[in-house]
Amino acid sequence: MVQAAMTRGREARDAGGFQQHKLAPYAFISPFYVLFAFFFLAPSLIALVLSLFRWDGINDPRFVLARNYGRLLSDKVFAQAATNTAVYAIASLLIVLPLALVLAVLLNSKSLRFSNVWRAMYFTPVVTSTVAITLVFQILYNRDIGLLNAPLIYLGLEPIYWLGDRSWVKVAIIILIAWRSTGLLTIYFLAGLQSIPEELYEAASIDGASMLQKFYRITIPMLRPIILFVSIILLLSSIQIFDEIQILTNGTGGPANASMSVVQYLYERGYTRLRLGFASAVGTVLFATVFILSLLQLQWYGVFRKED
Amino acid sequence: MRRTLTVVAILFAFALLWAAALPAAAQDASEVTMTMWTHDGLYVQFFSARAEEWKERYPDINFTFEFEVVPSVFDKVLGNLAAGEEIPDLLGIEQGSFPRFMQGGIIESKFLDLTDLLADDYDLIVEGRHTPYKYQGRVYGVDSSLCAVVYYYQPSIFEERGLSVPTTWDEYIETGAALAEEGIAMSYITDHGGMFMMYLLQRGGAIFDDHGEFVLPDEPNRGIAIEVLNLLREGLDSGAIRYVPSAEVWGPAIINAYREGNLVGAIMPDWYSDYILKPQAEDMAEQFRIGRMPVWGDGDGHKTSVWGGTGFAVAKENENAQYAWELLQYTYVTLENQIKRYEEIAYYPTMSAAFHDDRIVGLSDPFYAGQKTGEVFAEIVDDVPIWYQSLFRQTFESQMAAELALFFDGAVSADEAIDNIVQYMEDEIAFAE
Repeated sequence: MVQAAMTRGREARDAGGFQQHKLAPYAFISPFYVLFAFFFLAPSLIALVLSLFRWDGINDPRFVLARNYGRLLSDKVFAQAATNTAVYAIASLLIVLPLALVLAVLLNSKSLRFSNVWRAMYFTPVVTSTVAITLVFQILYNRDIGLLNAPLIYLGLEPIYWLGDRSWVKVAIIILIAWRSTGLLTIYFLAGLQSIPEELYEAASIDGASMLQKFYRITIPMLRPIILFVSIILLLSSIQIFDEIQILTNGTGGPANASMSVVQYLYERGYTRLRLGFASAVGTVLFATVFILSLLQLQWYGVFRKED
Repeated sequence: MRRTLTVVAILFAFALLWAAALPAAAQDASEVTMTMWTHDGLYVQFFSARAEEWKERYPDINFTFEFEVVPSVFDKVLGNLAAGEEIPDLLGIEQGSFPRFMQGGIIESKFLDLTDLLADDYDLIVEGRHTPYKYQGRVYGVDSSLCAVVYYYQPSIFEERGLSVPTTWDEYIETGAALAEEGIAMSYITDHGGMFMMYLLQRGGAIFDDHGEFVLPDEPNRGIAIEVLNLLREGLDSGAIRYVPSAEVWGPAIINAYREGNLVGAIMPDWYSDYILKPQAEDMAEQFRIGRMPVWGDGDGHKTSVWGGTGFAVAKENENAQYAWELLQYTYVTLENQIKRYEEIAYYPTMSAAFHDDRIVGLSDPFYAGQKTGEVFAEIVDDVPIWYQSLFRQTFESQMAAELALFFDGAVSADEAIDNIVQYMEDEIAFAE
């Protein structure tokens, strides 16, 4: 009798323990998902719903179905902002990513003296205020008194209208993106480089591999996960670029909208013109684009490929 | 005995509560905290000084004035309204942001209609300073400055070459072309919709009518807009006018060009003097003068134009609305304080009567080598153009800025620029319906 009661008690405790055992991991990871649901999922869903309404944020919203999307797709300013943003994203991937990788390899070199000082210097732009940086760049880019044009003026050449020319303004922004982003990405690559076993390089050296061969056959493949991570970070940040352009162009995205990014377009429509429903449609399109591009990147890097 | 003691104790307790409550109630009635938000510290300075005088009207009330410069003030106020939070009793609404408050009738539902409150004082202020704060024919803001446009110039550049200060646009282009041979420009232009509006208004054109309807496509406005663009084109081609992109227009390059003597001056509103020129070109004191904006040779249009302004509005749902209006009235709608405003923060009066006062027209400005600059404004105060707000004003300005950049670049003609902006505006208006 006593034995039976003890057995029942143990079974009940085991069942409870089993339940606890099953729930515990979920409880531990729940804070992230709760925050994710509150601060990302819910706002995203609300934005999606809001994109079907006309709303100034204060008065009652009015349902307009897909009208916001219709106007968005027919607006030449949005088309221009999307093109500009694509240019920033592609330029970032083609310029900033290789630049950061090369810098990381150089900073990882054993023959480099004061490597910590160099690393700190490259990281400085990351910890400096965007506003301060951009204001300094605004002066650097000035046609008449800017430092960048000083050599041209000294040589009697026509100065570049960095912020006044529709083509050069994009170059000016890409340079700013590169200056600002390269340091952080270099640190990521540096961490990846330091985790590559030295034996691989030693073995390659014994086999007579050149520096370039070692770079392409060892460094690049071993850095594949870091390259994927960095390229996604870079793509996301360049697609969402806002502060730098807003400050550099005094909030105009000019000249002639030639520097305007999609987020700047969203801000102008949403906050300046109080078209929150329309801005939500822009945000939804931006989210969908970033999501699809990220998936494509993951696919390209083989993240979804099943291991044999 | 015990019952008596209990009753006494209860009565005593009530007496204590009453005594405690009485001063609190009296204190509540005599304590008033008034708030004001603006983007410009000069307004805080002027309102604070006037508030100290005004509060003497209420000796029984202990006023606390929390007047402050708030970054991104309009975003914050609109955010507060959306969230059901309080907004300040007084709000300085920059005219460029007024259309944001017109959306969904926010200005009407949340701010005091000042039309009847202004009563007879309405006519004392020039009409062109009421209309930027009108919504459906009612006034919701009292402006801080005349914002009339004049020509800031360095007389020595003209004198050294035996040239006189141009008074018409034809003379302006002619004189500018002569100076351009030496690499000197008369003034500059930027790709800013507000700046284009400034030139358009002077010629007598309009973008929106008093109902906020888009009238630029209609004649004579379309013709005037093309005429104005062609004038600017002529100025750019002759070198009389220099193009500066909007990203550089408020920066040090312009001041440097003044210093180097390759830019004579600027056609700008009154606020340019104390907001931009004096602080940035302190070392150039006595080198500038103020003259009238050149006029069109055929006599059509105005002697001046306008650009800018900040109208103070009163939050009508706040419990201090009455006090806020009284303070605003005292500070901005009395002749004496309009003159003080000029004396203390150099914003010109919006009452034409003030320009008969010697404290305005007789005041010598040391920065302009003792010139009585008020005299220039006295000549133009009654000819300040009237213009109207619209829900689509910001749409117009931002897209016009893009068209201007293309036009200045030579990528589109004046006709094409106007056709493009008209098409864009019609699409935007149709979308909003």
